[in-house]
Amino acid sequence: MVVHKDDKELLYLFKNADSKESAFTAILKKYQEKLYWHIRRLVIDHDDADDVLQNMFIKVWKGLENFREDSQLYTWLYRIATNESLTFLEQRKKRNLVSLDTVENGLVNKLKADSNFDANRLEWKLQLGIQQLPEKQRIVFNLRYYDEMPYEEMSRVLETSEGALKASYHHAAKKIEEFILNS
Amino acid sequence: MGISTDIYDELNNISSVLAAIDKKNIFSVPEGYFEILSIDVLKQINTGSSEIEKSKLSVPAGYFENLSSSVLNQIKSLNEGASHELRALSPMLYSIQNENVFEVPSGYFKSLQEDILNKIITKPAKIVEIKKRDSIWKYAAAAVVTGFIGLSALINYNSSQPTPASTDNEITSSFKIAAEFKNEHQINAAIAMLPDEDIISYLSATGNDIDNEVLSTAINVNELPSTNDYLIDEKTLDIYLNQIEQNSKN
Repeated sequence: MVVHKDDKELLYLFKNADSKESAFTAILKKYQEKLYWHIRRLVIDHDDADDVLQNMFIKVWKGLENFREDSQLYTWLYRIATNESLTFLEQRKKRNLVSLDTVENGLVNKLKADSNFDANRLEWKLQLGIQQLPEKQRIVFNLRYYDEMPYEEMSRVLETSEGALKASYHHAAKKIEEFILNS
Repeated sequence: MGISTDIYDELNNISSVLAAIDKKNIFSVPEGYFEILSIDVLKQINTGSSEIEKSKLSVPAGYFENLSSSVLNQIKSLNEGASHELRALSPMLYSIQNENVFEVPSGYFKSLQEDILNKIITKPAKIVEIKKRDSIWKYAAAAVVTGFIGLSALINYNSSQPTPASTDNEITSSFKIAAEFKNEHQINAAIAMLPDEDIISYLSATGNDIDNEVLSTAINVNELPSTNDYLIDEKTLDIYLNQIEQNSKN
């Protein structure tokens, strides 16, 4: 079992020139999988997720020097990952508008193109249902359902009130349920 | 992949259907992806940072000599970039980019410059010399400019005719008399012989056209109020007309 160092310790080591790289590698290894799956669920495709993840970590390297320790590293990383994913989807949306395609259709098509895709299996129906959601609700549902993120933390990641997040999660779950029952 | 109790309970309250679904990860990643990810990221960071360090220490040879052409090339590439972007976004739009659906009349662009110049450069107006000593002459000269009919009417009036020329015969007569004058000088000389009262009476009996003509000849274009003057003071026109009147009396 990999024992991860405390975030505060990693940040301290990062600010030391001699241990900067090793501290960064440790941060990366500690959070890479969580962040990867968060991104992957938003952009669906592995190559896209890989691009977004690598770009976000390059930004983390540049921004970590100025990271204020009064906020949690974990929250900050999720915020960057979410913003980078949304930026990626936004750029894709601009491109797809010209070809009269939508990002949502693109994501659904990617899901269906997966070699393991099985329309009869509930977990795939669930994923298709998630893709029907508006962007914000999709993020809230993923963070709560998959990452099991407390609303308090989610509130810091998405800079939205806990009440609004709870409402979003409720609406999202209801919409997915309806989608599954009608599909 | 299980689901923690409080989150399960929350979901179960919202949707028992969703809570019943086994939380599985349907996505897969290439084998060993997470093992090499940190190496890939650091490689990219190091490549980027070493370039930054180099740029801090030195300037490439000939950098400043080539800077202007480099900037121009970048500007050029920006324009080309839009074309490349359009080609990438929509080959169909790119292919029709330079097709113009609008037509212009044949030879339009050849004559355009000349047409515009003709509108800009106006031909100088004919200047009628007016003697300053008596404002009456100014009005009389205006009558001459207005036309021979006015002049003949004036002469007829001066010949103690009770009414201005109004019948065909009288007009024909006016033309005949007017035709006797060979040039402007002779006309001015004839007007000079008319009594002031006759001229004033004539002008009172004729329309606004003559007044307008008088104004146009009495006005020095260079002294006209500007548009802004009108906007600043609504009495500008009155003041200006009073000035003309004053000048003509002097």
